[in-house]
Amino acid sequence: MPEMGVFLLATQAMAAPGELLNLALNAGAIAPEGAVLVAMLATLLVDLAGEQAAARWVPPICYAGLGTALVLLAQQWNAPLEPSFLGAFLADNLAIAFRAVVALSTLLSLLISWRYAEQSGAPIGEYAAILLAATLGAMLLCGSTDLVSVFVSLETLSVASYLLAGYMKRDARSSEAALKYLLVGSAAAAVFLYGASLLYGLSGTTSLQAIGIALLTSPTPLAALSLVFVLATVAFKIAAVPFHQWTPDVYEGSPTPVVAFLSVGSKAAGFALALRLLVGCFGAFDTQWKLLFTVLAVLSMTLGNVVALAQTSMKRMLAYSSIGQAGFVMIGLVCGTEDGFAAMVLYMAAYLFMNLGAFACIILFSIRTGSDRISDYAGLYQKDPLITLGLSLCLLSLGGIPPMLGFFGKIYLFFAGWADHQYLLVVVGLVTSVVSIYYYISVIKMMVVKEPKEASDVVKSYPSIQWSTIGMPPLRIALVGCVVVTAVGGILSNPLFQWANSAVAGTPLLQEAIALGSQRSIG
Amino acid sequence: MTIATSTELICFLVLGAVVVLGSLGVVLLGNIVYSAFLLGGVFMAVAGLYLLLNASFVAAAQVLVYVGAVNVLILFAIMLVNKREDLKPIEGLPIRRLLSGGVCAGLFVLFFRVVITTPWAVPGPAAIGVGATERIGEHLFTDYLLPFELASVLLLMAMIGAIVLARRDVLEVDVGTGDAVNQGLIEKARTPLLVDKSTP
Amino acid sequence: MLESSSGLVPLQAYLLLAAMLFCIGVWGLINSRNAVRVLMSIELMLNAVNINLMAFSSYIDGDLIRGQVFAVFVITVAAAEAAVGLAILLSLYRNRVTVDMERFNLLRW
Repeated sequence: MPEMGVFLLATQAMAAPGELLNLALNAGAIAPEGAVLVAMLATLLVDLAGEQAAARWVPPICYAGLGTALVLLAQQWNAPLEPSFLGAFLADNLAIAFRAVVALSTLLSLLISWRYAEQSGAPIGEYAAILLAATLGAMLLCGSTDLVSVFVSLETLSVASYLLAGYMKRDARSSEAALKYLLVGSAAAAVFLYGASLLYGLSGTTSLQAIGIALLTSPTPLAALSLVFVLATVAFKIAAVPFHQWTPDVYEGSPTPVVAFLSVGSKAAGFALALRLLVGCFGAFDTQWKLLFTVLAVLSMTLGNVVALAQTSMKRMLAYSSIGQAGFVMIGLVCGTEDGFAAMVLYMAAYLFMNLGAFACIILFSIRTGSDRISDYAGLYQKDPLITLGLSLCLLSLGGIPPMLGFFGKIYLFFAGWADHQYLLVVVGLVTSVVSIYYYISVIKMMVVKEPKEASDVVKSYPSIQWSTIGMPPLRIALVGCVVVTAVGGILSNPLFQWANSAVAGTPLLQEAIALGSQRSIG
Repeated sequence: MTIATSTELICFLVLGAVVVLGSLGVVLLGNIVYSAFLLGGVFMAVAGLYLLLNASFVAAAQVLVYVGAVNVLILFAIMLVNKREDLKPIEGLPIRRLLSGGVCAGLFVLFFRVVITTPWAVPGPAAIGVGATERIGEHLFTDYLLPFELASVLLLMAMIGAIVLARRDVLEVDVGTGDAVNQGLIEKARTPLLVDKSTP
Repeated sequence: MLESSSGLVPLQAYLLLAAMLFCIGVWGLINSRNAVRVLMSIELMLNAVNINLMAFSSYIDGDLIRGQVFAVFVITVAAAEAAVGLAILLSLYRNRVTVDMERFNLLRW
C-alpha cells in the first residue's frame, strides 16, 4: 500500500523533530474541527452579553458551525490521503464517516435541547459550548493515530460529558450521575493510560501504526496484558457488558438531551477508537481480541435486551436497549470482513436517526408532562398523535421491523456475520432482537391500544399543544426529520449502503486488515 | 561502585519507600486530612524520582501542578465538605476489603511476573540529560502539536464547566417565556429526591 | 544532577514501583467510602502511569523522550479532571450533604 509507505517514512523521519519544522502540517484535515472550535468560542463570547442575547444568538451560531463542519467533511470524502500533524491524525474515509455521525448527532441533540435547557433554568451559552467541546474531542478521537492524541481527545470528550451529565445542578440525581460517571470514567482512563504506557515501553513509540508493527514482530505476554487494559477502556466507552454498569445510572440521572448525545455521538467515537486500536494496532492479537469481543457482544446483547424488559423508566429502558444495540454493532467488528465493517458504519448511521428520533419524542413528552415513566404514556394517541407516531416508528426501527431503516442495518450486520461463520453471534442476535421487539412493542401498545378512560393521569391532564414557544420549532424539526429518515430511509437505503461501502473502501487501515483476514482464511 | 551510583540507589530506595508507604497511608488512614497531606508527600517523592531520571522539567511540573494545584484543591474540597460523618457500618466490609486486597495483590504478582520476564530493549540509546526541556518544547510544536492545542480547549472547557457547576446561583426565570424555571422538570414530581430517608 | 540514568537502578525497579502504586490505587478505588478519597486513589493510579512513562522515556527512548511529553499531557489532564471532579462533588454535596459513596444510591446499580 503506497500511502502506508509514506506514512512509515514520516514516522521514522520523526526521529529528529527539530528538522521537521519545514514539513507541511497538512492542517487542512482538521478544518471541520476548526469550524466547531470557532462556533464554540463565538458561543462563549456571545454568552458574555447576557442570557437573553445568548438564547437568541447561540442556536444559529451552533447550526452554522456544525453545518460548516459537515460540508467540509463532505469535501474531504475520498480526498488523497496524507497523515496530518506529522502522524497524529489521519482523515481517511472511516474517520470522516464517524466524524459526520458525531457532528450530526450533536446538531440533532442541540436542536432538541434548547427548550429543555431554558425551561430548567440552565445557562444555555455554556451548555452549548461544553457540548461543542465534547464534539470536538469526539471528532478528533475518530481520526487520531497516535496514543497521545487518542488520550487527549478521549479526555476532552469524557470531561465534557461529566460536566454535561451534572448540568442540572439543583437535581441530586444529575449530580450523582455526574459523580459516578466521573469516578468510573477517570478510573477507566487511568487503566487505559497504564496499558498505553506499557505499549510505549514495548515499542518505544507512540504512533499506533508503529506500535502495531512492533507488536507483530514480538508479541509478548506484556503486550497481551496491555491489550486487556486498552480493551477494557474501549468497552467502557461503548458500554459493553460487563463494563456497562455506569450506563443506566448516568442515562437516568443526566439531562435527557445530554443522554441523546452520549448514546450516539460518544458511542460512535468509541467504535471509531475500537477500530483504530484493535484493527490498526493489535493485528498481532487478532484471534484473542476477536474472542474477547465475541464474549462481550454476546453478553451485551443478552443482558441489555433482557434487563430492558423489566424497566419502568423510559430513559433507563433506552439505556439498556442501547447496550444491546452496541452488542449488535460489535458483530460487524468481530467479523473483520469488508461487509462487517461496512455494516458497522451503516448501522451507526441508522442508529443515529432512530435513537435521536426516539429521544426527541421523550424530551417533548417530558417537557409537556414532566414524566418519563413508561406507564404514563398510556393512551397518548388521543392527545398527541405526533409523539405517538414518531415514537412508534423509531421504536419499531430500533427493534428491526421491516421496512424501517433499522431493519436493513440489522439484516446487513447479520448477513455479514453469517458469511463470516459467526453463527453463535448471529443466533444470539436474532433471539435477542425478538426479545427487544417485545419490549418496544409493549410501549407502543401502551400508547395506542389503551381506551381513553384507561389513560394515565398525566395524559388525562395533558396540556394543549403549542409550538410557538421559543425553542419548540427546532425540536419539531429534529423530531420530524429523524422520523422521516427512519421511516423512508429503509426504502431508499441504497445510497446509504454505497456510502458505507465506500467508507470502508477508502480506508487503507481496514483494507489491510481485510486482505490479511482473507489470506488467513484461504491459507 | 562509584559514589554517584550508590547515591542513586539510596535515593531510589528512600523515595520508593516514601511512595509506597505514603500511598498506603492515603488509602488506609481514617482521617481524610492526613490522607491529603500524605498524598502531597507521595507527589513530592514522585517528583524526586523524576529528578533521578534526569527529567527536571517534568519534576518541576509535577511539583507545581500536583502539589501546588491538585493537592491544594483536594484540601480545599475536604475543608468545604468537612462535616463529621459517622459512616454507617456495612456488613461484610472487612471481608470485602480482604477480598479486594487479594485481587490487587494478585494483579501485582501478575505485573511482577510479566515485568521480570519481558525482554526490555535496555540499554537503549543514550539518555538526553539536561537538554530534555528543550526537546519537550520541540515535541510540543511538531509531532504533538495537535494534542497540545486540544489540551488548551480541554482546559478552557474544564474551567468554564467547573465554574458553572460549582457556583451557587441558577437562573430563576425561563429566558424564552419569562415564567419561573422548573428545575424539577423531569420525572421529579413523584419521588421527592432531596429527602433522603436515611438522613435523621 | 546525576550523570547516568541507566546506572545501578534497573528499569524493572521503576516498573515494579509503578505497578505497586497502581495496585494500591486500585484498592483504594474499590474500597474508599469517601468520594474525595476515591479521587485521590485515581491520582495515585495516574502517578503510577507517569512513573512508567518517565522510566521508559529515560531507559528506552534515548534522546527522543516522548514519554516525558506524554507525562506532561497526563499531568495537564489530571489537573483538569481533578478540578471538574471537585466541582461536581461540591454541587452534589450541596444537594445531599454527604460524601459517603454508599449513600449515593438514588440511582441503583
